[in-house]
Amino acid sequence: MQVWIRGLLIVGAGLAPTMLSATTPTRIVSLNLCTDSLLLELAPPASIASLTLLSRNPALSPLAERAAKFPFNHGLAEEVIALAPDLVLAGPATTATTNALLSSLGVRVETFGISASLSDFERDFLRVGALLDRQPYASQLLHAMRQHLQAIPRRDVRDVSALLVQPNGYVPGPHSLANDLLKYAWTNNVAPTLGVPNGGFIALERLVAAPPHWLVISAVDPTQPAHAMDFFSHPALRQAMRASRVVTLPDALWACGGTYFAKGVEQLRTAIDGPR
Amino acid sequence: MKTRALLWVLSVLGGVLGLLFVIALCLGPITLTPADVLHGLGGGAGVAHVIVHEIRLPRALLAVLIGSGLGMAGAALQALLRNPLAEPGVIGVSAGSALGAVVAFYSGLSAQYALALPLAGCAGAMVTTLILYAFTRRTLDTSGLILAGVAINSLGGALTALLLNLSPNPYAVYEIVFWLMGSLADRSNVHVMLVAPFILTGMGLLIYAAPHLDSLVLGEETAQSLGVNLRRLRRWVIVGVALAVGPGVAVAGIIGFIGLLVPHLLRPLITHRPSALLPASALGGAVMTLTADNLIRLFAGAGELKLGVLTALIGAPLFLIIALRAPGFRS
Repeated sequence: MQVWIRGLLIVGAGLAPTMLSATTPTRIVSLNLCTDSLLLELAPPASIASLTLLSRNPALSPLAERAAKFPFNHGLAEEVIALAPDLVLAGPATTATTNALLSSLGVRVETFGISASLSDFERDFLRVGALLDRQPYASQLLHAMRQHLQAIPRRDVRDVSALLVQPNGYVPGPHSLANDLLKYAWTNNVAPTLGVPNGGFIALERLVAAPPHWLVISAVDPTQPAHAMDFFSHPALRQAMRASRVVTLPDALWACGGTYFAKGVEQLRTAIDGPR
Repeated sequence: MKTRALLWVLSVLGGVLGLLFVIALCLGPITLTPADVLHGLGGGAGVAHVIVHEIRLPRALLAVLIGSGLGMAGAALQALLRNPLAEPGVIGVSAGSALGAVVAFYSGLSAQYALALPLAGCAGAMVTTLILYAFTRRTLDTSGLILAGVAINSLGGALTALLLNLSPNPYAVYEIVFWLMGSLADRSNVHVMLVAPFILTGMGLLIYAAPHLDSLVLGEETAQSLGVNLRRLRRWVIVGVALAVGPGVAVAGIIGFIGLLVPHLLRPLITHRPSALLPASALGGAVMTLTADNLIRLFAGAGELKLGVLTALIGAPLFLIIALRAPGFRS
């Protein structure tokens, strides 16, 4: 409860006018879903010139509602140039050619990799904070997130084994926010003992032979017909899951780093602990 | 003499298929003893039963069903179109099935009516086969038909990709690969039940049509003079091919080149007569598909190769060799 009050105070502080230095960017464009999220949390709304179209999809972003208020782009250089941005945030791969083209045209492009851990995300968050001249604000938000995580009751991880599985039976590896999600919820990620120590597609047989206490199904949008979802309706998995319990978690809570990560962890723990 | 050779080939293929089937049931990331496997097949509960009965058995059965359908359909198409390069995957019949299946699957129709999936696969296969047949009425040139097939194949693949791109499914890009490069991974007994009646009926039709295809080898006029009703024969074969190929594609994606390789490998061993070649090609197709799938499972790490990738890796170079030898391709 206290965490939330503190969070509200921090958001209030973030909205307060800050002294802008001459180099503080005022027209920022994001070309990547995850940098969209960083901007939405950190940038003053007036300085966001454009976000990706994906950011408005609630299945992909927990901040979709907020994102919908801003203009959107499709990750094309032409759109970006027309906006005359003073800073472009992008991912490393998906718009690699666009990034290079923009850089050669003299636009400042800052690229951000995929967050492979919570500390990766925190580093990127602080980096955006620095780019926006808002380091203290960024630190405050991270502090609130850490407190939220610390408020989750500890337990012996050996008591609860868990496996996070995405459609097609894909299991994220040890260097992923998904792995941290299970870690901060105080569960034992059994991916290494089920033949996918570095992530990958899990063999259905292994899951059947050694079902974990909890199967965390994390899908973008389970309602759409997708061949990828067939994995979850396989009769063998259904039989094996009689021994496990299943919790479904939206992919968006951990697919990109965000301070909402703590909400994902809390949601998982609430599901595991049952109604209190 | 030829009959004896045929019987010999059929029994060898049957024996090999039986052996491969046993291997398929014993092969997997979880080590099971032959006793476990036998026990698991028998029934009861337990992990071994779930693994053998719900995971390994349907996969092996689908490899046999789909492979035999493809092998026989390849031999039948080669006879009907009188073209050594005719093969469901190469000339677009499989691409048509995939397109039909994609429509049924992503519209949500197959979630409501399970039978819509194999039926849509059949419909797609039938439409493409009819288009191809119309082409052979205009030209009997080997390369002409293959070129038309290549165009239809590309169009089918492009429409499949287009529909998936338009679908709101977040895994669409990954799924394009599944439909174009098929796989038997994690298919279930539900899929076996769904396709078996169709594929078996299709193969039955083709076997029934095979003696008439024998006369067609001598040319359409000769066949007609021997009392073959060409219109009816075409109808039988086109429907048979659609039933033998379409449902398999609808549950496992496109597995190419089986229908090309198998008849070509078997012809020198037995005969060019479709009535003998068709059943042998069915067995050969099953053997080849199950071999390829067993190999994939043997070398699977975290995620396995798509079956269609392996069959194309082996099939495409052989296709080139056969094409270079085909009369229509010689200058």
